[in-house]
Amino acid sequence: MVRYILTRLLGLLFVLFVISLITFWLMHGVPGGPWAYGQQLMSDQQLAALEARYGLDKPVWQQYLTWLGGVVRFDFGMSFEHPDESVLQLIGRTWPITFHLGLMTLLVAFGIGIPLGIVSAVKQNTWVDYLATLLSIFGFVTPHFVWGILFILTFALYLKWLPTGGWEGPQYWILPVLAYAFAPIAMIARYTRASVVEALRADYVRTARAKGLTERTVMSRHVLRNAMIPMITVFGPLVPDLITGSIFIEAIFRIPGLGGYWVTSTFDRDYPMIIGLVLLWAVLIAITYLVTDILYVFFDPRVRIH
Amino acid sequence: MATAELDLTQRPPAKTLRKRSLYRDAARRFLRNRLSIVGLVIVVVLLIVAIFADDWFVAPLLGREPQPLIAHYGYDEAFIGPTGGFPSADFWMGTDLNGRDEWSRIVYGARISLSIAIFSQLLALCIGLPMGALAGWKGGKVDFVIMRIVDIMSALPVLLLAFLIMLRMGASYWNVLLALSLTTWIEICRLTRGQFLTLREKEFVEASRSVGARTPRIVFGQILPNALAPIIVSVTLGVPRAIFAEAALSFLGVGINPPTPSWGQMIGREGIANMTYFWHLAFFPAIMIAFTMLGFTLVGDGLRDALDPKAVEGKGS
Repeated sequence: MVRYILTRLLGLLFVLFVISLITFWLMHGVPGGPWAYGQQLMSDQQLAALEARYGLDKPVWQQYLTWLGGVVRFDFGMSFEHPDESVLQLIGRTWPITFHLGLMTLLVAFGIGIPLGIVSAVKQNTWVDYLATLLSIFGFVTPHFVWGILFILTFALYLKWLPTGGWEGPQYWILPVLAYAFAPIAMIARYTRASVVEALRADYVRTARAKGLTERTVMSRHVLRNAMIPMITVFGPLVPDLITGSIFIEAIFRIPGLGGYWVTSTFDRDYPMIIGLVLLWAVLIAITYLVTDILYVFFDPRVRIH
Repeated sequence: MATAELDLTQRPPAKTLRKRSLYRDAARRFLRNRLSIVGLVIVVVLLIVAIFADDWFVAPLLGREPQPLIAHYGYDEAFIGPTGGFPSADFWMGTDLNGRDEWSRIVYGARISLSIAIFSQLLALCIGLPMGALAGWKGGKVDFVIMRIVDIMSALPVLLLAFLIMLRMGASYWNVLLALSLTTWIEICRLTRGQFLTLREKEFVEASRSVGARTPRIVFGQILPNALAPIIVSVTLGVPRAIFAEAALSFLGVGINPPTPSWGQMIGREGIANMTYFWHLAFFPAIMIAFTMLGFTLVGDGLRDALDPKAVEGKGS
């Protein structure tokens, strides 16, 4: 097991290396530089001095080596747009907000999605099932920025129950979390339903019923336990997706989190921040897949690592 | 061989059996599913709206600019109505801040969104299918290299990657199309590879090899037709995702360049900023995005259920 994990981590290092190369090549190929669109007008000498200070006057391969040298010492450079903060500090300041939002969204998504899926599987082809299916289809097909807009229009502007945006207290959390959670709720409900329906048809469930077990025991010990296993692979990737935030949700609800930087860093040509974020994402994805694979082994004795 | 075939066609029961191919069966199952019919109707209506927004198909023959058909005005005809006018009998969805007819812009936007979504998925298919087929069929080193590329591509944040590609190449219709297919082909590649891996070990492949069929014949005649069903489903379900992605890129200002309208761009440029008063500027494009995604998702779901009869009873292969 330990050896398996180490091999996977070594593979991750290789992937990270190639990804950093690709990103470096892509982002330095984008026309314009970090100060080309600045509000302040700079003379050519000032611009040259600034570029020299950050090493942007050197060839790209040299910049890459300098950057790689920093990364080895866990120094990802200074953000161009926030010159008083390093990339790590900037992520450390903004990520907790996004993380908080993402965690609440995850809780809401699983808290509603799984029961919804189970109920519609057990009450298959009744009005409960149809209602849940309809709800999840609508959740599935409507982008979260559309929900955000509709929620603000309805609850904030028309009914005036909740604030339109900001991040100051629990009443500010409700709308973004709901808008953000809608699609995952729908997805979780759909997969849970499919998975439970499949488990309900299995022979071991008939056996369990034939043994005279109560419906409750059959559901919790046989159906749900088996239905959850395939769902690990489906739900795993939701976690990095939600905890890294969405530019749309954070822009629409004016949340000062990390989400916006996925886009603004590329607009600002904030090279250290771009590559920092790309690597953060790659690491999160890799960890998620590793954890889901390990969880699989724990929950499903039929699966072996080799 | 010839006599056996003759025998088959001469017996009536065998003839009816032959008609019941997978796709014929699938079509029947698809049409019996009420939700997929709803989806199909939505998609067809949207396609009609997109194609007949103006008479582009006869305009060149008559030697004039296309005239609006379903649209009421051209998408960039400014100040034909009040600026930021609310929906009315003349302007069904109101007018935007340049006094352009919102309905006409929505109709032209359908053309942009649908064509980008459909063509980007077809392009992704053109990249993903050969790559996946190659990896699954050849195995070994080829498979290793292709799968490492897929690994790396799937560890990159899609939005940021599409963003960098768009910034690097510049915002335009074709570049959006290219960026979207470059970020979505990996899924089709993975799926095709999986299909080829399982199918190439099947008895019927061995059988056709044993009677002397060459590789192209086996790949195109035997494996591909059998691998196609899940790939069709994946491409169909990719369309709503591409619609979302195009909307997202245009929303953020790196997608379709104004004045050409796209729903995401309409929300991003005027919709969000004026949501508190001119609600219709964000509302109608948002509803259209949701509606379109609904149509394609229902069709995709219907296709999946229709093409994979096993999915109902147990695990689909």
